[in-house]
Amino acid sequence: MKKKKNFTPLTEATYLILLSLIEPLHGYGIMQKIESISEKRVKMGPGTLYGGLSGLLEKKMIQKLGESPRGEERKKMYKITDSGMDVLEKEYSRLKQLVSIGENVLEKEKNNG
Amino acid sequence: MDKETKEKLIKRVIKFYFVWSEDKEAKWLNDMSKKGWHLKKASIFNYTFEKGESADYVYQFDFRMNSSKDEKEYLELFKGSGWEFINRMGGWYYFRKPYREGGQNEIYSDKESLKQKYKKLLGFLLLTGIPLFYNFFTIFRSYGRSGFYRYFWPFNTFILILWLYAFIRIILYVRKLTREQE
Repeated sequence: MKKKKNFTPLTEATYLILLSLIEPLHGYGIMQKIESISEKRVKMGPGTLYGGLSGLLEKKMIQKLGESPRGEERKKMYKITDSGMDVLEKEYSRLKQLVSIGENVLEKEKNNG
Repeated sequence: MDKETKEKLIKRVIKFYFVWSEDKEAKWLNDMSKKGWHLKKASIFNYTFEKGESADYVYQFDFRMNSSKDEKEYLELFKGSGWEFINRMGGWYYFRKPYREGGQNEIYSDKESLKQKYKKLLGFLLLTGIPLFYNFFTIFRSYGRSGFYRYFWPFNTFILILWLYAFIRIILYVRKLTREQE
């Protein structure tokens, strides 16, 4: 396994966690947001989410914001960092490029056939 | 092996499950729950159940190297998504959730993160393996010199064989997950 310095390509879970953290959220909020932005297609397990968050924190792609302002519950919030945003945008264009390559080939095939 | 203790509604059972038989252990706990015996506490080879209504629970186990790190946040994530934390045994966390068809019934929802769990476990085994191997070879050399070593040697060898078996089983499992990812 080669370790690249830039972190793309991301796993599906990491990609979705980064996307959801464009706004600050606490742990459970991330799960709910992933479910809603993926139109209920992805139900991320808490083990996967915790592992994903730890990995992203380590790579400084997200940061902890301390306590949630919303009253007594006092949950830690997470948010994407600038470098995380960078990686996310790179990954997004990489995926878009892949889709467009796929489109070119598959649409041509359909038109010919 | 069942042994009912003083109180009627508590049952303690001795069962030998190891790291490589997690699925069997989960299935057994699920069967027990269906019979109305719900896990109250898991200790090493020793399970305490409490009698209640029959329920279909999914049991899942997670492993963490450093249990003191962010434990509150960690447990909150599970609680928030409907997983009930039962107890911690060493680095192992026991969770359960009522089974729901089509629902999220696994704490790891992709193979990549499941692999990470077992890699952590391998790391832990490697750490604990160092003293085992060290003992094995030093004892091996001093075997026969004193009574202590004479008795300790078979014990250490037995643990070492278990260790090797666990290590190999987990490596094979991680490889299987990698193959399934491709």
